[in-house]
Amino acid sequence: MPGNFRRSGFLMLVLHAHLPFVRHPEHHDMMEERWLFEAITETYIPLIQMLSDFHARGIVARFSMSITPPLANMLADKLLSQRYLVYLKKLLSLAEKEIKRTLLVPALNETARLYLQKFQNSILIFESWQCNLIRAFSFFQQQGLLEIFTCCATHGYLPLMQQHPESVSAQIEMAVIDYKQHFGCQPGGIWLAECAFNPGNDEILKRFGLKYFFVDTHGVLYADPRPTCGVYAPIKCPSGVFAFGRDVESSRQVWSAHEGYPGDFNYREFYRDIGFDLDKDSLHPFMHETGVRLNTGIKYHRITSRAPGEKDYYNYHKAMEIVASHVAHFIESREKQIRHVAGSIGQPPVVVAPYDAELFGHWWYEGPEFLALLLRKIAMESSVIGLATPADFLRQFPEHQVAMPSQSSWGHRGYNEFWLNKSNDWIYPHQDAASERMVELCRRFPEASGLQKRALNQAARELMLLQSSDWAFIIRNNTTVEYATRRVKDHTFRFTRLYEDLLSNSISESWLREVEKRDNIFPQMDYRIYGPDRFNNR
Amino acid sequence: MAKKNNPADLGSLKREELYQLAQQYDVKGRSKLNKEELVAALAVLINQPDEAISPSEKKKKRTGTPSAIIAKKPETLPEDIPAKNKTARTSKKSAGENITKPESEKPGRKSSTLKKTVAAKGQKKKTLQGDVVKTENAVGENNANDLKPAETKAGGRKKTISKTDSLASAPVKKGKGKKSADSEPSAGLFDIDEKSPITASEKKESSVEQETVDCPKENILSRSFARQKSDGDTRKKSGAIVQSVAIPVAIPVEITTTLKNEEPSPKARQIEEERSRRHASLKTTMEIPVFSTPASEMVLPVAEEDLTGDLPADYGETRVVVQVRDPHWAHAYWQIPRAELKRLEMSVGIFEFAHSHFVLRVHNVTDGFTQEFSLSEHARSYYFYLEKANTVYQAELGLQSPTEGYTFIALSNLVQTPPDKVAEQWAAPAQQRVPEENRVAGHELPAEILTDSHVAHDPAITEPAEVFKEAFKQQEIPAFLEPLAGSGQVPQMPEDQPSEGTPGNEGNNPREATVSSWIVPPGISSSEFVEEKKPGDNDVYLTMNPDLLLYGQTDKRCELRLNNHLIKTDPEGNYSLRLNLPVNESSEIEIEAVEPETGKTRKIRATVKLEIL
Repeated sequence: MPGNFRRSGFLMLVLHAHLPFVRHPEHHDMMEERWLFEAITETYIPLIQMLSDFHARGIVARFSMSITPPLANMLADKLLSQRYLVYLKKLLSLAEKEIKRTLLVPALNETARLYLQKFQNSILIFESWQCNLIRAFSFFQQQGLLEIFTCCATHGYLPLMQQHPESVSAQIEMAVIDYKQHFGCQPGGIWLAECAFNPGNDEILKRFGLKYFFVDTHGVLYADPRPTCGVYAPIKCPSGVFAFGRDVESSRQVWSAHEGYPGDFNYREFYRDIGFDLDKDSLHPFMHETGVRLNTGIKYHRITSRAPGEKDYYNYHKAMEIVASHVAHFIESREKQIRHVAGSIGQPPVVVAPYDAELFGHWWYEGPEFLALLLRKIAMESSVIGLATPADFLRQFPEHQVAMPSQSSWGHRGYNEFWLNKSNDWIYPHQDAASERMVELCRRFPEASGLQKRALNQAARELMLLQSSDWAFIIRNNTTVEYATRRVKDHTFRFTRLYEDLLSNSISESWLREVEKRDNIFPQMDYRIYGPDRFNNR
Repeated sequence: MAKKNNPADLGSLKREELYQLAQQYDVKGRSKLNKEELVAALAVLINQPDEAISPSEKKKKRTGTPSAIIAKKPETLPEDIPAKNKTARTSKKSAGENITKPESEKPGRKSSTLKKTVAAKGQKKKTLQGDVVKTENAVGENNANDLKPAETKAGGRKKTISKTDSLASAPVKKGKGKKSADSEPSAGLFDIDEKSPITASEKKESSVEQETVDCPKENILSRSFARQKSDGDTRKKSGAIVQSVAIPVAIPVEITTTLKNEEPSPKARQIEEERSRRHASLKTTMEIPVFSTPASEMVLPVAEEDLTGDLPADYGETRVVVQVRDPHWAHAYWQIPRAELKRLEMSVGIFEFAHSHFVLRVHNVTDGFTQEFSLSEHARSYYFYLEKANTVYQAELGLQSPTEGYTFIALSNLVQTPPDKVAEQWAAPAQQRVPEENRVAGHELPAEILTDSHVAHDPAITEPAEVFKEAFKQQEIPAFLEPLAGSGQVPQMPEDQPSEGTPGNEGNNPREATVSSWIVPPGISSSEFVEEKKPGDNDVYLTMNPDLLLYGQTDKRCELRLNNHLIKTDPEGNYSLRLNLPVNESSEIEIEAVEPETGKTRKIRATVKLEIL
């Protein structure tokens, strides 16, 4: 590692892995659970494959990753694991059929064979980690290949929770507890949901032993007082917690459809999936029981052009050539950027490049190959760029300018608008009321036990699930609005009933059991995290 | 045993009954099937031999169908049901004396020795000779002796048991010695559900006598249970087991409830063993908690409708809450319970109240001035413009009446808007304490960077802060890149998504921040334009002309009329209409599809009103 710190500056690659909690034991084939299954096949398993490769070759290419508590709970869930295997086997069967179907078209056939191989590998890797990928990520963290930090318990959007500091505190405390349970150690820092920060949150992070978090570019640039290094160095909040700011240039190179790499015409087109192209009989047994067409992950076309319409067939080998050129371009750009900045700020700059993990593999099919090649080349060949995780960097450079980051998020227009607008603002009166009621319950039942305690813990789970920022996001994004709306209503309803039953001392054990079975996130939940002592006297 | 339906019978059932039946037989995709398809799907299942059906389906089949219940219901209604059940309270002694041994027992059934078992805490386990009906626990403490639809209270929450259910069990409690004339010997197993109307009091108090209890048809009892069982998804494997005896009787006496044990599949176990063997040395196998609900002796099925519901209308408290949207916009919502509104009405007077309106006063706490916004009568939230960023605000909700003036209602939380520009004051330089070992071995910048030559090439960079200005010179306000959070969502194609651009800032438009050949949604909805009006805009020319886009689909062969005007559809039956929408007026819309051959019609009526606040 010291050798790494001879470099002129550092690239801090951050992958934010998150999916909302979409576990539905009450349905045997819930469409929303496929979000998880697709992400496992296309993103998480390729990441593990990459880490395994680094581990086998002895390559230390440090990057960091947030695995959110909902995702960790789903990855560790036995029911979902079993369902994933069923899903994967259906996919495998479909891929086998596709190889036969495409025999007369070599270009398609070659791609079909790649898919079959990919799915076969997925089963092998998934089973080799006991159908629990958290074990894999945890193992590679212990081996020093990456640093994993946590995220708000249910991806709660903190700036819109400000009037309920107990809720903010509980989101953080539960995140830390859950992380310890899954990864066996204290998290070093946190990825605040949607990169959304409100001044004062840093105090809560400090209370729970978190040393750093991330903000969007303007969170640092508009910090008070004004930091001299911009986003090229973290700033230290008055509480002592560090804030890393997102670098715009590296983000744009990957995120942007026009300038970004994923929009290259040789890369695979996301929107031409056989799930929509083929007749339903050909899709058996992968079709959903309702007959609704869904993505299968088997796609034969490349982006070809900006215009929708006819697309050319995808060529994996050509795409890999492009990946290599993009990696070279990215490294060259970072080296240039670091050289340019390093002389001016008097210390090695850090370029913080955060991305949604699901971008790599799910949306950008070649993303995992890009990441693997990028990390390997920087680790082994670059004399200018060092790879660093937040903890690495702070260990080497522990002192930074003191300033308070400004309220900000990485959402549309940089603030709260995407989560607070005409489409979704109806959620917040219910969230706020539930937050207040949860605190009230905590005051009324400071030392509950038995059924009462179970009900209180479940109420806390329902509140947290209600606070997930995903519902507002989905509604604003106008995608699966009905589902998100239903989730808001269900969690509000269940919380309200628990609240009323607790106050009237009339808890139905059977009903509670059913709700516990469904919304089983956070087995270790202790409702007292909403207690006034938790917030005021720590 | 329940008779099997034949397809002809099925055809005569209503759609709802068929659907219930389809639920019981677990017909895949049932909600999408039409009536004929449902009949066909059910006919296959009903007619197939039992061996071909899964155990759960077998159970369902044996317990009969909802349609059977409906059909048989009149038969289950005794003409003269006594108001009080005396038989159920028959002495234990007589029970023991009167029960006879059955002629045979089915394999797998439990003990057939008559005995009384008094279970702890309100559970009485009774094993009836011949009738091996196992039940566990009591639903509650209600006495369901009344013959009106019984109400049972589970955990304080009342649940009405249907009349059918109640009556189905009522004959069990009927007068002494009266036997049902058309009762049939039962040879099957019948499921019982803990939600059954056989209540705790009966279980506790009725030591059932075979000969003294009136025996309705046991299949009626079992069917009623089967119907209840269909209420929830959480079916239990156990249930009442009713065995035929010389004089048929179906009495739930004892249930053994087995919790659904989610054992890992053999494959999963095999994988686990293999993994343990191969990776025993790895330190990754920590105990991941699995949330298992505490074991309980009582498990009642929970109906789906008990787990979902609508949002509460209000929370019984007066409140106004302010949320910051960005440096210049905030959102306020408020709730005023009906009682509080009444109190306000009384305090200002009914006439005054009718001519009053709500106002939102927004206090700039930092600078000490107040803005006031008039609110429409039905508004429950409001977006308002804030002139100054990086400022503390607080809102106040009040009522403005013509003569009484302003009446305070509620005060909001304090909020601080974020800054919209860089801070004026520079941060003090940090004294970097580079670890000692790194002074020698680490943190060695290349020589060309340590010299000033590199910087000298760019005269614009004269102070450290210029570095980031240079880096972000294209954007006074940084680009706010659109995250693809929740990326498992169903994406939208580019042609469906209007790109929301900021004029003059195309290069840094956050809407471009995406991947593949599509553009991430969404534009600002028209409703936001309506809501968000800046104060002080009165001098600025502004118009708003809303259009309504109506689109949908009908059968290809149908004629479509909108408010009696024929409109064209495409060959697939799709239509799309753009209609000018008047402001502040209700517009009636009626779309009618007519099938020319049969004359069948389908109408959709709607009222649309766009109200400017």
